[in-house]
Amino acid sequence: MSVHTDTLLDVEDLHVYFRTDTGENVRAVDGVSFQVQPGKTTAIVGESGSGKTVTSEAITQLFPSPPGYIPEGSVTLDGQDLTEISDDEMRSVRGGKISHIFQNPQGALNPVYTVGWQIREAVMLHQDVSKTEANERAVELMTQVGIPEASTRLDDYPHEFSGGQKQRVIIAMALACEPDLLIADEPTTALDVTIQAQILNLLKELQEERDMAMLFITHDLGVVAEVADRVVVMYAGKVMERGPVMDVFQTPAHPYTRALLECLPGEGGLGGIPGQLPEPTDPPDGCRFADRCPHAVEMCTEGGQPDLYDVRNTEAHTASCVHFAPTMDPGVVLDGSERVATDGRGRTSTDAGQPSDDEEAEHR
Amino acid sequence: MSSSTSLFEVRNLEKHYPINRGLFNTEVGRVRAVDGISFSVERGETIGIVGESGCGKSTAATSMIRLEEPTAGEIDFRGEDITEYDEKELRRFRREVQMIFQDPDSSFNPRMNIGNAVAEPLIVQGFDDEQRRRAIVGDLLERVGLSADDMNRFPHEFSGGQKQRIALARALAVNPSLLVADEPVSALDVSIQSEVLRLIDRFQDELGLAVVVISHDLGVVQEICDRVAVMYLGEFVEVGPTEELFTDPQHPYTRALLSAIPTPDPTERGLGVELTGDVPEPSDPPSGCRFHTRCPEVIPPEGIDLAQDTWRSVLHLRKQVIADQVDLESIAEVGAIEAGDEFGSMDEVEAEDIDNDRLIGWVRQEYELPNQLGDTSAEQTLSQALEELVSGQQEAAAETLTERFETVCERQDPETRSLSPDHRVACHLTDDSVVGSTDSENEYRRQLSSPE
Amino acid sequence: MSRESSDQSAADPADSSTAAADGGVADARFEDVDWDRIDSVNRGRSLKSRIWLTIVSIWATAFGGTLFVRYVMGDSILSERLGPLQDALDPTVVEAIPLLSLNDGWVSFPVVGVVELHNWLWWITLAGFVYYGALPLYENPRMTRYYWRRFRKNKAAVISGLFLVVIFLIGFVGSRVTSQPEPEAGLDGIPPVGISTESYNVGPAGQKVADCAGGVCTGTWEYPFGTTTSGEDIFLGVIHGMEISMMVGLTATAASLVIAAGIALVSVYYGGWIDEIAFRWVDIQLTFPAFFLYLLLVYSIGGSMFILILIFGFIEWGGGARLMRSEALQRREEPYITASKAAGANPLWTMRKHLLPNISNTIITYASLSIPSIILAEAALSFLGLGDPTMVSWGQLIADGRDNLANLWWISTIPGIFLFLTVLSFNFLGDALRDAIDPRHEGAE
Repeated sequence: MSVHTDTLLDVEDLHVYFRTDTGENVRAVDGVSFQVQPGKTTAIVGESGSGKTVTSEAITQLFPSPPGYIPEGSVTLDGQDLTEISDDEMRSVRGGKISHIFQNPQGALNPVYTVGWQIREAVMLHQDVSKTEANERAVELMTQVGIPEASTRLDDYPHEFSGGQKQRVIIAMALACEPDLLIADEPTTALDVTIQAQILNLLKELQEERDMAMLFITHDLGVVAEVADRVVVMYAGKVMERGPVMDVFQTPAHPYTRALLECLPGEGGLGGIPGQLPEPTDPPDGCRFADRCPHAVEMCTEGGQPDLYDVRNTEAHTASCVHFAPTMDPGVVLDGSERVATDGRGRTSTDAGQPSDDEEAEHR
Repeated sequence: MSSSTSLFEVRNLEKHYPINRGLFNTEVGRVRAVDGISFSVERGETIGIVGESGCGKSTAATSMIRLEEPTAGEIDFRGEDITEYDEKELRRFRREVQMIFQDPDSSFNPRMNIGNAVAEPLIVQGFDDEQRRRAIVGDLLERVGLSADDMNRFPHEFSGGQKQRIALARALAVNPSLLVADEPVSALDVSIQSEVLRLIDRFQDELGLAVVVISHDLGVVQEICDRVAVMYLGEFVEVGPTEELFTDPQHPYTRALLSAIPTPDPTERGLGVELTGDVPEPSDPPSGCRFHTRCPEVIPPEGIDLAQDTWRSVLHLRKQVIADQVDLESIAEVGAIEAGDEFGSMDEVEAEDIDNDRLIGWVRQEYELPNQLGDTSAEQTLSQALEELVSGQQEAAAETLTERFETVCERQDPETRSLSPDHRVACHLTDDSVVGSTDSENEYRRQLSSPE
Repeated sequence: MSRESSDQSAADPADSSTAAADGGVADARFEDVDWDRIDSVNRGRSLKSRIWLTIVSIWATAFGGTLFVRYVMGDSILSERLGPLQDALDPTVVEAIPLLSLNDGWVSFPVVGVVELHNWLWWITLAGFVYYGALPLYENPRMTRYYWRRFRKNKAAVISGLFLVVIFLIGFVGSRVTSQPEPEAGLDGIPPVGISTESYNVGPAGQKVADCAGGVCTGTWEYPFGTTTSGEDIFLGVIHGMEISMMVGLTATAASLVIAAGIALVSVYYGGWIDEIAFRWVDIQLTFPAFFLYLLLVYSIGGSMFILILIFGFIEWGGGARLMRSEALQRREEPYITASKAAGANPLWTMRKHLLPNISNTIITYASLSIPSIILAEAALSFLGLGDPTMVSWGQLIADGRDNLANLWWISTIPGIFLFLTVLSFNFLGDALRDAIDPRHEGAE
């Protein structure tokens, strides 16, 4: 696997299951491993239902429990296994070493308190400072995240801020305790492209200033290309592909990554990916994506999810696809990217008319 | 674009919301959500309206089909003015024009199964044959990629993408000729977006449907639109064929929007021209060109010849001075720190203690202004203003700056000009009478239009 | 506004009108609908709704007529003030109308005879339950099964529901086939079946009925629940009380729900001055204490079941209307409301199909609070002797036993238990109903 020099967060074989009323397990995250290096950004990318959000929540155990639980796997932050520590210790990690920002800026701020009060709370929760000091710190943070006239805006309520500014306030709260790791779960999805650009630039600046690591959760590969150093592509609770951002975008290896890239607007493929996610309570044998994959062969539906094989012999870039196994010819997927594109789209346009009935299954 | 052949034509549409205050609910102002937009849609054509949140594009969508009563303007559908329609005619018009909404979760009644939801337009339009209605709904659901058996299920049992397909089925049920889609995919994953867009595209081809797509995402618009209108604060700043608009955007706002789209290419990082701040309040839009407060390409006044970034810095300083937000104390403090020991203890630095020339130098540094502007007359004004500023005459400084550095962009409403029969833009940069009167401005213009 | 044929799908050359006439598969395509023909046909109401409207109008005429004859023409506090006008209004004109007659100041109808005012309200409430509740469930067996599947998950509610159905049926049928319990001298103090009491508690005639030996009397099946201090049969009293409780609770609640929901929906949908006027009125109305208003009427024109229902049904809806309004206000902004308008729906449709179902949580919660509290209020008023003196209700029976709780404990206890169980059941039922009809509520299937 990848080189373990200097790792801040090491997620190893993480599983998160949710137990349903009927006693089944919804395998939201089913064996995911990745690392985050200090001061670097790792992006987890995938569609809704891929388990990317649950993965990020599992790091500080924010998912509802019960019904959720971690049957196996470890989350190591600075050598400390976060799955083992007590609730009290976890509370000090949350908002301390690790901060979260979420997709919906509306929901993350309490409408009945002023913004200043909320940032102050975030500061005082983890730092032993007086109220005036916390106040000064709040102004400082708000200025840092680019809110003009911070000191006068402290007394404003969340509804007096625009969507972009609210997200800035949330970032300020997340930064309150100088976290080592910032987990950003779709922080720009609810925003306009122009505001998204502002927020992304802000996050990059802050990261550089503070040498802070980021775990960035998104469904948008455009955003990934903009911010990430390393990319983890998730599908149905499994890692499909993993590697440095340059490698993944230059040589997208897994057919799923390639399909995602083709879906981007402006890429010409008005394709979408035919079919639906597999049933999370009873995943199929073999590769989870086999059912929707244009390159699927018989062995794709046998055994478990394929190992993460090296792509083009670079250790850092791996794909969970049988075509990259040592004995196989990765050319089937990689060679002549034009041909691949046509294949993908050809299948798309013929099959798309009748997406399978499986799609209902997803929501039961 | 002769009006006689257009399926749908909007002329000078306005939608203002009065702001009422006080005991007697007197009108104290107006939110100009839509402030005079014109466009036409031909049969089978897709037109996109793009802009940031708060630019009025959703209001434009609802008022152009009279879901909200427009304040002014004419709306012709097949040559008839729909603003004159009575209730019965309006109901019939509703059949011809259908809408898809942004949020798939809330655009369905959670207590109505989707069979009834899709059948609703049929029922309210008087289609009483229940058996045939069910057959039509079943057929529709199958054609949007679901199953006829799904009829009995409730909205919460479907994913966002599926719900948006159902929304399309509901809109198509009465066989409309115009479909208005308000952010039809922005709540969906990228991979699902293209599925839904393709479905709209397919039906459009099949039915000869005209489509108006409202979106903040230029990528979406580029994907399916024939023509695009870029909207800012209730007005169209640029309208043109998609291809042309994307390859040769004329309005700085269009350029800014385009540069904000993240590209899936990690070698091309940096999101180009970054628009600062948010869209101003539509209740009090800026004078002249509404975009000038955020525009990265504001035109310098006649006779001033400055590099674009220096000019922006001057404008920024002017804005801060007018708003009295230049914090001399903190500038002095920072300057003192940088200057080193000379000032002793940093905490005790006061702006008054520092000699004016030195402080002016620091202010220039703070606002990224060179010690000497390239243009002599501009330099004269600037140094005069700075002199006034550091000697405590903020108002005088503001006046000096306003007088000399007032730009045409804030003074004059840009006219909408046709660059080609299809391509209209409202920006002073395209006006030869404003830009191009002097050599330096020609040069400036060349500078702007050449790719960076 | 006809569609040119070029608008039709090119692949489908069939003329739309012939396609429509063919029937069959071609009909299933929305492109083939002939909208011009649909526009030209006048939309009529369905037979079902025509029948319902007829029933409602006949009811309204009869009820209104009875009210008029009784309170305006006949002897009443109202007619006394009409002065000379009263002379012009002679109730005997009723006799001139075919099939109608006058019976002691009340209009007597063919077949049903004299129907008391509270019964008019009771009948239309039941008819409403059938038309808006039972009939749709019957016509839609799939939905009925779906709701039932969800409802039956809540065992307590199922038992409550069954209990209430039994109470309703026994009360409804029972009070029609049996006569009201009459006081009978000497029959007082008989204990319920199997229960013994000292014989001095039991009246002389009662001692013959009960199983008396050695100074102790045991109740028999002749009076299964025993008798009151005035010798009334408690069993009969309980049965008649069942109908009274059901009638008061359901009728008054139904009336206030209809008014509250109607006012709330119309105010929210139209907003502006309609909303302003309606809810300023609610503000004023909420300052009337319904209880004192009732007392006033009891002392001026005498207590009656009709007045009681009137007060609780037509004065007490303000709070409910407020709750419903605030919920409807949130719903009004939902895109599905706009979608419905965009489809061309009229206000009535939007209110009925979209707003109403989405405030049903509040409606059911309100009903499940209102029914028990009205039942309790009626019992309390009867307990105080302020109820309808002509009818036997649980409150009256409880009051009868209050002076002799130590010896004749069953007189208060038995109707008390029924009252308790009925109120409890309505509370359980409300919760479960609310969950069952909300499709978002998890745990279905």
